[in-house]
Order: sequence, then structure tokens, then C-alpha cells
Amino acid sequence: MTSSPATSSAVTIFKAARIRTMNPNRALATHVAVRDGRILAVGDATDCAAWQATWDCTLDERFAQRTLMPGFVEAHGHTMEGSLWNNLFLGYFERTAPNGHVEGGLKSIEAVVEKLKEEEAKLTDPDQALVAWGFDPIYYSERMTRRHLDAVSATRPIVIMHASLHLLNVNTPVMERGNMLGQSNVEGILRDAEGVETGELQEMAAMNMAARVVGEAMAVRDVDADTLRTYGRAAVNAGVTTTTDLHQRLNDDSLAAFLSVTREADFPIRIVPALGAIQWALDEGIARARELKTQGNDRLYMGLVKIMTDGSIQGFTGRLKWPGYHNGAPNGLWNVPPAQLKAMILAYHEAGMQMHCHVNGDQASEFVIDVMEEALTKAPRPDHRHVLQHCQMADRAQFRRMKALGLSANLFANHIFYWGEQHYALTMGPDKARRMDACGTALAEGVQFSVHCDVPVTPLNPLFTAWCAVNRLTSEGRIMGPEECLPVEEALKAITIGAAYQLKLDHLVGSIEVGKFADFAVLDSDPAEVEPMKLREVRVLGTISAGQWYQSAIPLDQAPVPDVTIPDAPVPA
Amino acid sequence: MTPPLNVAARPAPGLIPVTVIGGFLGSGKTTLVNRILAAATTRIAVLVNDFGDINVDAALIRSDDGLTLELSGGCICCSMAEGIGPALVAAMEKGPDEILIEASGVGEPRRVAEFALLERGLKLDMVVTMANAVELAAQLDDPLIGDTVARQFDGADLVVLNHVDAAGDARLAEARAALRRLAPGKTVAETTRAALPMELLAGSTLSLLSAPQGDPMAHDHVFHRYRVDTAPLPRPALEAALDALPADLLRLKGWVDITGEGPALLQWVAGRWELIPGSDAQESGTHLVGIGTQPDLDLTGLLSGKPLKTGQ
Repeated sequence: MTSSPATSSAVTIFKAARIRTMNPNRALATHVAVRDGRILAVGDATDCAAWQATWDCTLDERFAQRTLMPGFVEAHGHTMEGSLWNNLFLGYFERTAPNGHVEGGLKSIEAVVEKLKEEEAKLTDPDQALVAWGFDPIYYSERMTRRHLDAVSATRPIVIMHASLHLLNVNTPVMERGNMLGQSNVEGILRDAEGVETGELQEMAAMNMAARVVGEAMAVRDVDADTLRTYGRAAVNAGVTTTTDLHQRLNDDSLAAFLSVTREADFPIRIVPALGAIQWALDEGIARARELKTQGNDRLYMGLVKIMTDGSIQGFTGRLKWPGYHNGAPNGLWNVPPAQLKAMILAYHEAGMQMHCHVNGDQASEFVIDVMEEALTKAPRPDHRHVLQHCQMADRAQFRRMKALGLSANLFANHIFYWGEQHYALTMGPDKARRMDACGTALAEGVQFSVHCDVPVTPLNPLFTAWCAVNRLTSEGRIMGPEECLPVEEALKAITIGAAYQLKLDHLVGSIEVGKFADFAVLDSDPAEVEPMKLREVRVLGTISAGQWYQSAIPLDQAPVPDVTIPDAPVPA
Repeated sequence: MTPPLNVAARPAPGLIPVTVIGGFLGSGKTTLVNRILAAATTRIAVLVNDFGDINVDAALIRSDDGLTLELSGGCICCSMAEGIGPALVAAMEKGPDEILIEASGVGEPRRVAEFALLERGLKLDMVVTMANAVELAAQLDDPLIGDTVARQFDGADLVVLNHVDAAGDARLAEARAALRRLAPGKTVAETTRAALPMELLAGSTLSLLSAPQGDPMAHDHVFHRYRVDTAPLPRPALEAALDALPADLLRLKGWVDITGEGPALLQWVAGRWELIPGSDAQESGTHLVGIGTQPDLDLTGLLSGKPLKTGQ
């Protein structure tokens, strides 16, 4: 048979115990035929026999005992994950490095200090700074000070970035070199009750000075090829085959890095960078976004625009409506005056761009909904697919308006596990914490949605993110808002076709359908069949991207991370 | 008219004075920056905000010597992001006499000022927060921005209530009342088109010292100049007096003859002061000039250890 268009090259048939396609027309299958990196056919053993009779086929039975799903799509991540691991990770919860090793899991300040000492002992150059990240003081009863860090080294600069990225801990040498001792007028240098500097730094000025002291190790730089390659490895470990890099300046250098790495034969992901609008003057940004839209390849999709509005909730910089923060903290911060944000959103909308708008607090989400309503009234545009990113505090009324305006929501489900207790006690209070990241409401109100991890803020692992959305368990075992729990099937949609839709790539990825890219996650079991609380334990063996196999660096016998302790009887809150 | 003092035209060795100009969108920051640049006799590096801009702040600022640096937007979720720090380093590399930072419309000027306090090569000169007399009351009532606008007055040395010509009596009264609440005890200068006396802001120039002394200025009689010519002062009493000077004395500068030590250059700005000894004074005795808002400030008395009058 020579009339088929698909005769140009060999066909590989992957046989699996189960293929969960996320395509409603054929939800389950056992065989998928791939040619030229695309899906040629989906079916069962009978179909396979027909394919073999028709095409020149190779049957790949390596995954015969495994489950295939569409490769997961992370619609809110940052490639910065690919360079952060150059430094020591000090998380309270365990986390997997791109090389597959488990790091963190440090349950006391003593454990943190011991880890630092261990790392310090490996450094041979006495001037080399020791930089660490992922430290989260909220989990410890004791506050870390520079005395702890001076015990690690009293001569070598030590800087520890907090998980919130809003604070640093430094040792005395950093304070001395950075002119930070005796600076009574600098509020960003925190002090104890006796007025002695504790070594905790906040706000731009003091944090910037600490970064200057350690130099290269903390220099802010644009994305480079190595970072992208490492990020690709992290994605394979998590079953991710398409991911965003949701805030980049996208100047010529970083564009060149994206273009060259995505053309490498073994780069395992498709990547969707977003232009950071606040990093450009308005006219220049729109011109740049237009130019970027003409660039790209099968692994690189340009054209997304990111709009930053407020800060973060755990950093108390998200913008909230009345009554504000539960603990009485002052309202958060705008990155840009709202009037300028409005002008920016209107202009990018009228220029035909798809916007992903960072909105954490409910005042920020309401503001963007208001502006979008105006934009869409002035300049109606079918299928605009603007997305509210994070959208953590939107209430039902806001979701109804989003539905009416055709806005999508990408909800930050991982927050419930990592910071849910803090939201319950401090930031939002019990009532509002219960309806944070309201996946259930989005589903009920018919708002198109996805869920995300915002890597490196929380780990890249869509099955864990789905587990968060399904179970809404906090790190203390509280079920925070059981009414907002998502059915497993909906969570799986959210991390595949739902996220693909938000990137305008749902015609190419997000489900296993003929014509789409042959991008699969290879799993040890079917996530739709396991007990919902065990969703996070489903193991990723690796990915298939454009028909090519990439093995996860995480050993199968390694316990799943983060190290969640599930109480015998979770407490609904 | 008193003749100008003969003072060396330099600040403390190597330290570049930094002025921070804050205030919400539309308060007149750019106008003030342009006024300062137009009047400048020294090399001023300017850091301006440019992102997402409709009113083209940066385009209004004309500087053809490479001393204008644009601040692009960093993400506040990640305070390490690019922004003022690297721009300040770049500005210092150009060896300016002064640095002027225009804070973003939502920035808190006191937080920006912390950069100048921490950087060894810099010293904070003055923090100026501007307000729009026409808009202020409405801005403060706006739940989107009210708290942001209010916070900008924290840590200001000088508040400039601009656009008073366009405000009308009722709005002006509201704006004044709001500032009494938000910036209690702070000097408020009311201006039209940000027309401030330039010597008020200049950190390194001689303009304050070379300007006519002793006359109330034409500037709506808001600002008053003072002159001190007195005998040598003992250091402990002098330092105590400098710490206690009222904040509405915005700037004081000149030579102090310190008993037993000799002359030192004094720079006093809104409560922050430094004495640089061993300078090249050419006349003996204490000779200072100041600018502030009290009509009858007895600076000579205060520096000699006389307590402030009740009610001041």
C-alpha cells in the first residue's frame, strides 16, 4: 500500500498495558503508532495487527506493563529551576534535583546547619561564597540567625535564599562586606529585641547588597543553554513534555539560547516562553512580541505575554480586597501603577497578543477582570485565551465573570500543601483559606482551568499538583476546603489538555490523538485507577517526546517526594 | 545682601549624594527631575522608570551624556530581580557628582533610599515625596491605590504638594488635611509645575551657599534662609545640637570651627549630618547657611546649646 501519506519513514508502535489518551473519542487504548515524531494511529491489539499488515512497523514492547498518558503540560513554570540547583537546597520537605537525587528534608535548624557544614567542608577556595536556597522559616520553631551561619563559617560569605524569595539569611562576613552593621536607618536589615542585626535581610536594597557580596553565585542573568538543558532533565523526571518559561525578557541573547537548544536532537521538551511585559517600554514590548511570534520551531512556541500585577500571598505582597490580610498585615504591592497596567493590558490585547496575567490576591484578579471586560468590549476578539495565573483568591462571583468573558484560570494548587497552614492561620484566615485555588468552583462555574507548580517556587511534578487539587491536604494533614476538591479525572485533564489549551497548543499536545506530537508520560500505573490519596505515588519512568524515549533520573525504588505524612484521619477544615 | 561663603565645591570625599524623588503617577516627578537637570551645574546621573509607560517619562528626560539610566521592571515576587541595584552601580561607574533616582509610581521612596544608605560610595541626601493636589484625596479613597499612595510619605524628608494651581480651594484644603495626617510634622512645599528652589535639592553644588542670603524667597514665602556666623563651638554640644535641630530645617551647610580642633565642613540634611574635618577653609570661625520653613529659627542659639522654644 503506497497511497498513504504516512509512508515516508518507519513506524514505531508502542504497546502499553493501558493508554489513557485524554481524548474522549477514545479514552483508553493499548497501542499507539508513531511516525516522524507524530501519532499515526491509536488503538488496540486488533488495530495493531492491521497497522502491521499495512506499514513497515517496529513493535516496541518496553512499556507493555506500563501506562501511557499524554506528556504532562506545565502551564506555569520557570526555567530558573535549571540553574538554582547549582546551589545547595535547604528545603524542609524533600525535593528531587534534576539529576534524580533527593535533597532537603531538613526538619530542624540543627539539620540545616549540619547540611551547610557538610557543604562548606567540600569547598576548597576560602573566598568562595556558599549560597543556598529553598529555606522556609515557617516550618521551624526557632528563627535562624547569623550566629548559626557564623558557626558554619566565620570567614566565608554565606547567603541563604528563603523559599518565598522575599528574605535572605546571611552570616556576619556578608554583613561586614556589605556595610550592613550599624545601619540603623535600613529597615530591610532585621534586628532582634536588643537591636542586634539577626542576619535576616528583606527588601531590595539589603538583598541586593548581599547578592553583590557573593557576586557571580547570585548574579541575575538571562536564561542560557545549560539552564534549559537541566530544566529539560527535570521535566523528564516529572513526565512533562511541554512547559512554559513564564517570564523572560527575551532579548536577543536569551532568544538565541532558546532557538539553539530547542534544535538539539535530544532536547526532551517543547517550551513556551512568555515575554515579561514590565521589562519593556510598552511600544518596544509590543514590537518585540510581534517579532517573536514569527520565531520558533516544533519545540519552541513564541508569542505569549506575561503581565505582572501584584506580589505573592505568602510574602504578604498580594493585593487583597477588604478585609485584607487575616493577621492585619498591610495590603500588598503592585508591580506597576494600576493605571499603567490597564494601559498595558489594553494595548497588548489590541495588538492581538495572548496574555497570562499574574494575579494572586482577589483585588488583583478583580482588577484584571475589570480591565479585560473593557478590553473585550472595546476590541472583541474570538478565542483570545487570556489566562489569569495563580488566581488564588478569586471568589465565585469572579469565576462567573471569568466565564462570561472567556478567561481561563491557572490555579496554584501546590500552595495548599506547602503554605496552606500559613494561609489558614495568618494570611487568609480559615474562611478564605478554604476557598483558595478554587478548582471546584472553576469546574462548577464552567471556567476553563489548569493547575500549576510555578517551579522553582514549588517542585515541578504535575502528578503531585494533581494530588494537591484532588485532596487539598496541607502539610499538617488538614483538608483545606473539601468542597473545592477536584475529581481525579478533572485533575488529569487539567495537567494535560487543560494546560495545553491555555498555551494554544491543544491541537498539538495534551492528548493522544492522531496527528498530534508523540509526546507521552510513561507511568507505572494508571493515575485514574489508584486511590486518590495515592495519586502522588504514581511513578514516572520517563517520557517519550516526538517518539523518542527519555528515561527519568529518579530510581524507581526511591520514595516519592515531597515526604508527606498523611495522618490516619485527615481533619476537614 | 550678605556675600557668599567661600566653601570648597565638594561633598565628603568620594561619597556621591543621592536624591530620591517619589510619588504616585502624575504627581510631577518627571517635571521636577527635568527642572533639576536644567538647573544643574554638576554632572547628575538620573535613574528613571520606563516600563509599561504611556506618559513616556524617560523620553521627557533629556540627557545626552549617557547619564540617564532606565530602570526596567523587576518582579516583586522575587526581590532579587534586576532593578535599582545594578543601575546604581552603572551610574557610579560614570563618576557623577550627584545621583537622582526617580522611584516608580508605586515605589516606596524610603525603600529606594536604603540603597543609598548601604552603598559605601553613596550617601543619602534627601528623600522627596510628591503629591498631586488635584488627585490626592481621590487617590487616597481608591481601594486599588490608596494605601500605596499613603505609604509613599513614610520616610520623606520633604513633601511637595504639586499642581496647587489646578486644585481649587476645596481640593487643596482636602489635600493639605490629608498630608497633615499622612506626613505629620513634615515640611510640605506647595508648588505649581514642581517649581522648587533648586538649592533645596542640590546635594553637592554651591548654589545654596552662593544664593542671596537672608531674604525670604519669592517662593510663596514657604522657604526661609538662615545664616550663622559665630565663634568656635565645642564638639559635644555641637553634636547634640545637630541631632536636635528641627526637621523643617531642611538643609544646613558650611564651616564649623570646632573648639580645639579647627574647621570642619558640615553637611546637614533633614536630620542626617556629617562633619568632615581638616578641610581647606579660608576663614576662621563658624559660618553656615541653611534653608527651611520656619520664619524665625534661631539657628545660632540652637547650635550654641540653647533649647528649642516651646511649641517648636
